[in-house]
Amino acid sequence: METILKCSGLTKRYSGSLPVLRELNLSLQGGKIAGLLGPNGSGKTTLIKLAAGLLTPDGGAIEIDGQAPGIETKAKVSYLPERDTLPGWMRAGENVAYYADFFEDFDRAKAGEMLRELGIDPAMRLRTMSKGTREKVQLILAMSRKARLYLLDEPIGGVDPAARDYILTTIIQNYSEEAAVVISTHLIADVEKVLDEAIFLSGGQVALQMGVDELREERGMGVDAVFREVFRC
Amino acid sequence: MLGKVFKYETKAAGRYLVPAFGLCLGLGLIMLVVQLVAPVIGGHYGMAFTTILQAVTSSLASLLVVALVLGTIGVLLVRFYQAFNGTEGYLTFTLPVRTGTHLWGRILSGAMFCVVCSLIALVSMLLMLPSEARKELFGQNAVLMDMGFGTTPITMGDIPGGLKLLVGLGLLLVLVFGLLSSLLQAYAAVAIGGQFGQHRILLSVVFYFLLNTVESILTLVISAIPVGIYMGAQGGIEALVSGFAALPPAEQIQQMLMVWGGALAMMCLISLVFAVVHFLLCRWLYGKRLNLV
Repeated sequence: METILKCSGLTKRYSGSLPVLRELNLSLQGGKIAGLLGPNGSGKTTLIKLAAGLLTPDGGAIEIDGQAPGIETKAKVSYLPERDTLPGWMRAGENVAYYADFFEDFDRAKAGEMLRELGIDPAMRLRTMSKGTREKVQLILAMSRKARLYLLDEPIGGVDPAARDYILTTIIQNYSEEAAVVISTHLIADVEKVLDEAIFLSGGQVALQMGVDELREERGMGVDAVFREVFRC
Repeated sequence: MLGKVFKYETKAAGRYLVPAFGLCLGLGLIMLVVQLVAPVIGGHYGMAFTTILQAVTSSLASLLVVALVLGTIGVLLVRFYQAFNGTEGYLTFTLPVRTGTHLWGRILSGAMFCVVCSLIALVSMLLMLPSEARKELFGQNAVLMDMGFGTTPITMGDIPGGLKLLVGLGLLLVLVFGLLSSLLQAYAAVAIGGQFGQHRILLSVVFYFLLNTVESILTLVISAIPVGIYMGAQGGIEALVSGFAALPPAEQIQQMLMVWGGALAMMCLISLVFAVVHFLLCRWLYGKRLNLV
């Protein structure tokens, strides 16, 4: 499989603070779902924002499919932010049309089908929906693309446990075999079952990157337990 | 992509502005009807009623126009802030669209709304103002330019037919460049304010006034240079004034139109230069120093 996300010596600092990412090296291949795991402030969201082209690195390089983040990579990266970003005045159906207009890889029929499955009325305005429903709409839009790289920042953070299963199933069913998926979350126990790889971030560097099966075999415990052991306060 | 950005931006701002424009025109029509009916009703109560009504409609027309212009600018700025600095920025900047295209989409949509707003304001004023005031403002005797120092003011009727079009075009150019420059100045202030971690809106307002003050001073200084050179060539202001007053009225008009044309061209050039600087600043800040909340 081809390398889809590659970071070499990646450094990022916000003005007046210590570096959030410190010469981070990482490589992620296609066809894998990776969990980006780490305590608060470890640099998970910063790494995702750099890959999405929302931040510019201060040092090192980040490449998506061999290209530095820019207009070309934005067409290949499907980003699900941790917050509400869709305009509240738009209806769910208008948001689908918006994505279809801007992203060539967007599958309108798939989005419509997922809206129906979740019982979301396309004529409903986003601002009238509950937080959880808005998050589901965002996820539907992100997963209806045939992207090379999916960056999902806390995709299950704001929804009930029943909806979490639906979301994880949606992720597994909808990403293409050649694509890579990065899921950043604190709810490790919930996502563990879908992960192929675990990436532990600590102090802006990769503390551990290993296949989940390999990790279980080597440590004799699940990802959640390893995380608790590595990052014990 | 520019067309798509323009379409969605126009849709977003139009949600507020189209009803506001409609309301303004509707009120204008109501005022027109009131004015037409007023003399009939006023006949029973004497002239005082009609005079008071005309005064009220004139004040309302001015208030409405000011509210419409301020409202339009307000909506455009809020939209720009939401799309670039707010949480919507996460969506904006993950679209496969260049920063310059994002900016152009907003500028074109904003400029279109400003032009429509100006037209609606003009039409509403024409509808609301009493007929005498209308003639004073837009008729043949409307004063276009008054140089002072004892010369006759130039009225619309003084401009020869062929030149009227040129004057109109000049005014239109100034309007377009001025609009672009003002919009971009406000956008640049929002972009600078967005670089800070806190109090972004307050800082955007502070930077708007700062940019406005600095650029007004620069414009004044730059404009004063050719005027100074011209005055120096004419032997000082006193010689210029006395020489001008001695000219026949037709030549006075011609000279004044030349000066006016020169001033308009200078204003267009300055507006254009500032617009380019603001655009490049916005593009750099949003392209290289994006700082979303």
